[in-house]
Amino acid sequence: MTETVPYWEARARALARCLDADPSVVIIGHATSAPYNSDDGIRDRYPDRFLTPPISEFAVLSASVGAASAGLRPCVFLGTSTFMYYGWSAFVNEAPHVRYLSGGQVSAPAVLHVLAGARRAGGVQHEHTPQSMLQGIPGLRLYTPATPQSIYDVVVAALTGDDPVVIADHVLLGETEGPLDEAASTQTGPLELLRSGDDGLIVGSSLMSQRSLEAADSLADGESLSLTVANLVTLSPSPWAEVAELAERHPFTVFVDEARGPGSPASYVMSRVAEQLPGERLRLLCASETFYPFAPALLDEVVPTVGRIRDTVLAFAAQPR
Amino acid sequence: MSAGDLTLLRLMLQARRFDEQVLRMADRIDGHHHVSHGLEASAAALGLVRHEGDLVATNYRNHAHLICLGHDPALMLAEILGRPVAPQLGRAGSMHLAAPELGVLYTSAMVAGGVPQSLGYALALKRSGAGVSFCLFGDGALEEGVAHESLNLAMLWALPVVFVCENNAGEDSPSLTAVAEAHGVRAAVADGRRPREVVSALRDAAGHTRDTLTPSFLEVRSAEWPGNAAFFPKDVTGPTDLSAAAAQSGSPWYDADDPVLAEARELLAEGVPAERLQAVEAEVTAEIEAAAEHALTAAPASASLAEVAHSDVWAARP
Repeated sequence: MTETVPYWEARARALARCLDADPSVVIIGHATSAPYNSDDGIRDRYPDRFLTPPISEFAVLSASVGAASAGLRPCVFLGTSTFMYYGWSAFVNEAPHVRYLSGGQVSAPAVLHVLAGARRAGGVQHEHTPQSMLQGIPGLRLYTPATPQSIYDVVVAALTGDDPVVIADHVLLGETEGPLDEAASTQTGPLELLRSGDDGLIVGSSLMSQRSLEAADSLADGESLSLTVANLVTLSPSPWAEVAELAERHPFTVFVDEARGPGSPASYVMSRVAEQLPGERLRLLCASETFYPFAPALLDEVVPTVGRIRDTVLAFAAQPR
Repeated sequence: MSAGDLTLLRLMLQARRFDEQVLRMADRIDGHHHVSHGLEASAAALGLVRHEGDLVATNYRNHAHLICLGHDPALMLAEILGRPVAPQLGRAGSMHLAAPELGVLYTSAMVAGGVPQSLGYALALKRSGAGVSFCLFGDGALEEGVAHESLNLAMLWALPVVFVCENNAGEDSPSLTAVAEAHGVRAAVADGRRPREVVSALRDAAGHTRDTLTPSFLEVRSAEWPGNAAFFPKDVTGPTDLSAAAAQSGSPWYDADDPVLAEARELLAEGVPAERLQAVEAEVTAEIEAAAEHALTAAPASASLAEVAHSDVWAARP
């Protein structure tokens, strides 16, 4: 059954489903950053599976890695993504090694949920895109969902799979409405299509996919450009081969990323696609190489907006190729 | 342990002979490694006090811990030599040796890396009732902030962790029990040069943790072995010789600081004949020599090297 629900509700339902299905799932985090629905009674149903940690990210994230190695399925909610820098070692330099060094005997499927990207007026220290630094870690699965269906699928996949996971979520996606079919949860493919068209392709991740969708809708209405918009649900392991296949079927592809260009997930995917397609068919639109400033008017000069995505695509579509 | 029981001596001597073997093979080992000379008392105590089901977080200086828990010295030496032999397949080397079937799921080689992970083990064990978690680390680990976060978290969440600080900073260094006590963790100290004292102190600490499901902290104070070095230790004291227990050896470290000879002296004082000690010594020596031989001829993995290097990175997806 497909329903239309807000993104936050899909996320809460996926968590409830995992808590119901598996008694080893434990939620570690503060109520202020809770991505579950505090009104649906889930905490009351499982009071001993919600743990409130002290403000000790290094110890807490590392403990979640140990707990996952020992058979629990901890899901840590930090809220603001930059808080994970205090506990960076646990997810980049511990958890991914566990299976490799044990010859496949032990896995550490700890799950970390953070709110990445620019939330507007968060300021330079609370708005980052750590996915740029996480995408190259072998064994660490990295998700950037963009729709109610993909956040639902990603949460279920993270809490039933055997890899350590970072879900780089976005606070501005919370109210996005979209279809959700809980029964069809497919353990998530690396790409999701937000719309389809023949004239060109936009590849985004997280919030940038929703902005790209809005830009594509407006180009369809105003400019008769019919575009496909794809979201990179998975950033690591890299879905570049699937993207290349999709890009091949479109005259041009624009990659949109909220991260700055250097080391951005979009730039890596595009470089691999460029091994197979001529460069004049590919274009990269990232945040500019500065901080995310506090004032929203300043931020819009830095991060790709709907308007800038629209203009970039329109100009690129008109280029001879 | 009853009088005349040689179990403790045997465990410590196995650990010592193993590391002596590592030092003898140093020119065939890629990368640096750490030996446990002088720290065998806490390792042997771990082997004696751990119950089936308990989990253990060790560190880069792990050889003695794994030997005393019962790991196969031939497998360990093969891994240290980088041979692609199961289960660790030459991916781990000395510093990441582990043995899940003995409670060592994974070994972090970062200073204090295993300390917070042991809390996670304890969280899982507390819920399953399967055991407690042991966490072994050096005095340097307490210079890392995360060790302090961990003591605090272990108390706040009442986690059954037995913290064992192997302090080899020397006689004049301050005791570290106050660090644990500041967080409300029950702390004790034992002399690493007196193995029986260490065993009984660890038994007491683990008993407290098992009974109360709360953390405990044991500082085991040892002298630093003079052959230790940041990267490549050197066997400056020469191979351990139990016959030296009957008299002064002339080596200050063996005479005053070595826990292996200290235990041999205890046994002699109890009336155990020197011949029995020598028989144990001969057995252990032969066992480690055989392990080394086996490691050097170990059959490589059946998979190709490229496959060994690239597999077990990602989980198979349903």
